Amino acid sequence: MSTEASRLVNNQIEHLQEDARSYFERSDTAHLHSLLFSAGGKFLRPRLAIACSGYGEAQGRRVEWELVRRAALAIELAHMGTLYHDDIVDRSATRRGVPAVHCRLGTRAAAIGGAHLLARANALVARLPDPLPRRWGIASSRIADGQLREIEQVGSFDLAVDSYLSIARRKTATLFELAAFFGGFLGGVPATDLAVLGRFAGHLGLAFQLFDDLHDFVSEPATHRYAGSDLRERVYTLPVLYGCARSDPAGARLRQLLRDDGRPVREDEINIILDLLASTGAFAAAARRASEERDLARVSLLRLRGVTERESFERLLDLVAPPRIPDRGLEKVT
Amino acid sequence: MNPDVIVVGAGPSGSSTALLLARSGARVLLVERSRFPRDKACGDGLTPRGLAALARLGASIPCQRQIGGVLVRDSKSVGLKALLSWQGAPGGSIPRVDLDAQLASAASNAGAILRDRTTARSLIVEDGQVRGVSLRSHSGLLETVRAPVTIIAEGSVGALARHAPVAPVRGRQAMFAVRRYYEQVRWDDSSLFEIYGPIEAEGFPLLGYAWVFPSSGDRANVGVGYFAEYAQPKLLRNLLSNFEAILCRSDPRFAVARPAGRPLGAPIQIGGRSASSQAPGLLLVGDAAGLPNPFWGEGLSHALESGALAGQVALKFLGGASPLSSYGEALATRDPTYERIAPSLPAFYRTARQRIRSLAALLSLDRPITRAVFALVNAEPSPPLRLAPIGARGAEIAAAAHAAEQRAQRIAERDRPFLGEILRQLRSDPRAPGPVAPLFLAAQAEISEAPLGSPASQRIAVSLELTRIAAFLVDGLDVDSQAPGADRCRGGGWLAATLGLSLADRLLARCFATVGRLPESKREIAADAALEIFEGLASESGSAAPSERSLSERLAAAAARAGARFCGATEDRAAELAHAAAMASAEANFDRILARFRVLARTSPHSLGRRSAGGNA
Repeated sequence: MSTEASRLVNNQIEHLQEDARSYFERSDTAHLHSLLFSAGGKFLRPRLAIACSGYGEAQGRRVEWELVRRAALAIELAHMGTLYHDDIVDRSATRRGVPAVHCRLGTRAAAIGGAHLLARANALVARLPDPLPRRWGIASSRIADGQLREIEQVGSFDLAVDSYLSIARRKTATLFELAAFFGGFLGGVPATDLAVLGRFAGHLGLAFQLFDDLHDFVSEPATHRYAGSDLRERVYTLPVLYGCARSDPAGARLRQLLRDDGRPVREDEINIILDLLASTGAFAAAARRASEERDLARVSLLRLRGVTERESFERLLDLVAPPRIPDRGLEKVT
Repeated sequence: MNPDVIVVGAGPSGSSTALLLARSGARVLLVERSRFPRDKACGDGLTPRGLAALARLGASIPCQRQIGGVLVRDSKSVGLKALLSWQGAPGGSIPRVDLDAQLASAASNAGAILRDRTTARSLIVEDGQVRGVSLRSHSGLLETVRAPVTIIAEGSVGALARHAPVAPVRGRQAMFAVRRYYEQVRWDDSSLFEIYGPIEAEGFPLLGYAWVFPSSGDRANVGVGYFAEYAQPKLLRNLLSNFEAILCRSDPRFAVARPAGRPLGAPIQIGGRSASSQAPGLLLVGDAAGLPNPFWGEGLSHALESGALAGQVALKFLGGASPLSSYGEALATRDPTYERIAPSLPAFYRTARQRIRSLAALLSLDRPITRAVFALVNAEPSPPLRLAPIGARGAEIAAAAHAAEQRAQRIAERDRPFLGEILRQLRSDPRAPGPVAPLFLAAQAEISEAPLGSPASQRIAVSLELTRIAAFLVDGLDVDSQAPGADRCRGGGWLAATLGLSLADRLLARCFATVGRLPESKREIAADAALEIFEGLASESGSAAPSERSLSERLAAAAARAGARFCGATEDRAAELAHAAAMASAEANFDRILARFRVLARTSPHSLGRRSAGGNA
């Protein structure tokens, strides 16, 4: 039974990829969207939606899987569309191990491609029953709001941790919650359980974002050089916020190093910053906060009313994991 | 003496206030720290607006040079990037050493008592009311002077404004600039304010620009300035000397030029708000009020305008006609666009500090988003689009389309005023594709006689307007934004992309929210219209062949198709109307687009049967 649940999700994901591929080939836009079918994608959000529908089916509801796939695909396309745009804004060179779209095809093509995916997602959602389209509209606005707030907070090392988490919830967790709502609603999940799945998805999404932030600090294995971009772009995530909030000399030193004096952060400064974050336990604290959020997600599942296999949800939790940074004190918590 | 008004600072703002008041018979004490003639760090540039303000003062100060516009150049190659010419009225250039001395002497001739080499040490404040100032003369004599009105005009560096009982808004919103005069410059015929970018520190572009402004005779005003949270004098000097070296090496006009005097630097206070430029008994004018243009630091026109305004308000106050506090409102209403945008721009820079680096690179780009930003602080407000009523239902179409546009504007504005203003500018950009809501409505009118303004129809019209602007922004991004990863340069192309994308994504999100509230039977129509537009752009973005259809054509076609589908027309009839709309969109102005669309819509093969095709609606 448990493997059956996983198989169901995997089958639906394959099916969904086929739907997407044939659509993009028909509309002559497959060249823009090859990333959708590359090996690196985890399809976390559509998996979540499908797992929620599967939960409904396991409770004996009849599920129209075609609608579920439509909803799950819309969620993934919306995610991909914002990725194209984020990669332009963050100037990321690679995505899922291959060159980012704007590097392959240029900024304009990537901008248009992202908008195309968003518009396609919107057209799919328009063909879903009420109240899904309305929820989608609200979520879209929330996500755009989170992205704008993130840009507005660039360079603020004194940002309150709660404000940071609120931005991350908007920017990332919103789409997870929407995926759970879409999947759960189409799976006929009753309202109380639907709310539980929403909370699970919110915690899962935030945990995912917090772990993803930590991935930015991983060094290039060969050179031990900082490979991320957040520090250089002055996008300050949880470890930096924890470090800068300290009232001891280490905190003062960090604030001094991170103060925006109009220049880029220098390489030697980056190393000092990383050492300080490691020695003060800021990385470990951030990883702990992320793990806590994942634990909250796991615990929230216990409130599900129905008798259920939790395996497909547990699988999702496994996909949300910390990076390995053995020299920065992370191993103590993970 | 017992003056009616004490003006602290005899720069352009203070002297204009004093001149205006003294000429009307008020007793004015004008206090100046230095002795005239004295120099000031400034670009000496007067925009057409600044010249007009100077002319209105009636001080008859001759302009040394007429300036036809702003030229944006590449600082690395001294190459040409863009010309922004001032149509009609020119700008001008007057060295501050002359301008300030002449304005002060005009004020003094009009009857103001000019006391130079006198420092205002502090304000006299009693019960929250400013009653005057305490002064120290150059001989060290201390004196307290009381007056019903005190005006702070001491520029960006003065201490009085910092201790004034006004709402604190100033924060650290400032530009820092340094300039030096050059002589023996071989000017050619062109007289333009030249702006150079990017400027860099350690190979990293700063948010600022260098400039070469023509001055009197064979002299040039050469300088550099940038936005920052605090001053770095050494960095500023290095920037200037680097720029001077490039100029002398590669600009033939500077082949034999020599520096005249030492560099002179100053901060420029920006980010003022009209509400915080007054307190009981006190007015702030010019740089002291943080009025300089936050976009490029120009402060003379605002100094002259606010100086004159403060004079008028103080006169009315002394005559008992109106309260002193009407100054804030007068300042706000003198230019509503500026008032709305100027305070938010520094905050915008600050939030985007790592992301916006080269003002000149930004200015030099020919992109919708940069045109909008530039227009923000320079252009006259554009007249709203007018639709002449066409045919029997023209007025109905125009009214419904106007309502949709207004609603789209309000939706976009709700989030950030700055974004709303960019949207407003984009909507009046002549290169932007014309409004699409009228075509959506006109197509409905072709199919059905039902009234046009139903809530569902209005929602779709709004979603089409939001999509139009988003598509215009996305389509306007070019492939030049630079090699990723390795390139650390924050060029204007990348900035345009970041600004354009964040606005476009926001508009799309609002569009989706609008679509999501439609009844189930109508949602697909709106969603498919947006998809049609972006899918068309996407499908040809990979091919090298020239575009099959312009963005205007795509938008027009999608809007007309949506209108036809909305009224239940057959797919064939909808395709015909879409085709007619695309063809009509080539017309120059919107009235003619609509007129042509209506002709084309009726001459298509199905036109005879169109009532039977789906006339129920």
